[in-house]
Amino acid sequence: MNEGLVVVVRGIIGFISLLIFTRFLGKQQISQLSLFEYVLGITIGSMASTLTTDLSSAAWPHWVGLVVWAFMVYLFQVITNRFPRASTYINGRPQVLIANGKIMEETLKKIRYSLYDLLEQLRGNNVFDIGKVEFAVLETNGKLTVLLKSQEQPLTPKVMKIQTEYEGLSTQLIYNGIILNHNLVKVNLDHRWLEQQLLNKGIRSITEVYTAMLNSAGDLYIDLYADHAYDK
Amino acid sequence: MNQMAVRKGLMITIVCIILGIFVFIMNSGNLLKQSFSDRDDFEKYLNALDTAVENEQWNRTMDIYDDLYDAWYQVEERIQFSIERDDIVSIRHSMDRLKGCIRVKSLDDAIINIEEIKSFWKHLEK
Repeated sequence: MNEGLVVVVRGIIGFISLLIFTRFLGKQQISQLSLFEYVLGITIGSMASTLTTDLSSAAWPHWVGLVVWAFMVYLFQVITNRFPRASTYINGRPQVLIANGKIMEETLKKIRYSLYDLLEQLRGNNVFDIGKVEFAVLETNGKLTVLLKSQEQPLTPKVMKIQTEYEGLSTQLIYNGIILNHNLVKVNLDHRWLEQQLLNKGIRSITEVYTAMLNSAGDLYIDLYADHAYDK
Repeated sequence: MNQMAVRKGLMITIVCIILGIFVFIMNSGNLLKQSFSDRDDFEKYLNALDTAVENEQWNRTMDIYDDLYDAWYQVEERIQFSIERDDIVSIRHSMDRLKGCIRVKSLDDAIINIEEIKSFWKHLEK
């Protein structure tokens, strides 16, 4: 028995299976996972690792376990999406830790959350003065959402009644010294225009360019391998 | 839009094929333990050895044992991806013991080991 070869094959099976199942389960970031989904993720990962290295048992039962758990996660995702009330039982509900500027000590005690944990989370939200907080809610994924008192909130163009222009996504035109033709076509431009833009900046060869991005206002951002960035 | 649907369908097909290959590899033991040539017919050599031992034809048994060992080596290469390591090790140990029994011409012990190997073989991937 070639154990190394068996581990390689089982590793490939485990890795690609896990990749397929996690893609199937969605694109939630780790910070968006509920505690329940986080634990499920660890369990599924543990099964994949056992599948790879535990040669004392066949790969098949572990793989079936992996499929069952991935399917159960999917099932619970569907249930929690369709039935919000079920979601509160499965994922818990957000807890209000500060209401109208007052700390909810009973809630803190109930969820075994200390004042220091609360202050740490507030600092994570760039709030260093608890007196500025109107509401703070601990979400089911463990993150603290903070609403500042109205007099502490930052000014926005809307509040100032200032007109702003639409700002869309930038389009990448060059990457690693190669022109991305499909993106160039998308923005109705051609090689000649791009080369002219580079010449205007004193760049003679596309191979000097690490990346070039065109924003919705028509400004071209260029970054060279030689680390000379041009704003326009 | 149609092109998107074709691409999505192609992706799903590829994923299903990949998962199908994985399922086959993990369950291929029963299929791959069958013989594909005369040299890897483990069952045939085991039965031949059983008959030779029962008839106490000790001059033949070691040759058949060597064929059995070669057959097992070839089968093991194929089934190792779906069979538990302990099962493979158990068969190896039983075969080593059987070799010893043949060398000392111990009829009872040889039969016990042959039956053990038959049982292991029968229950591979079950």
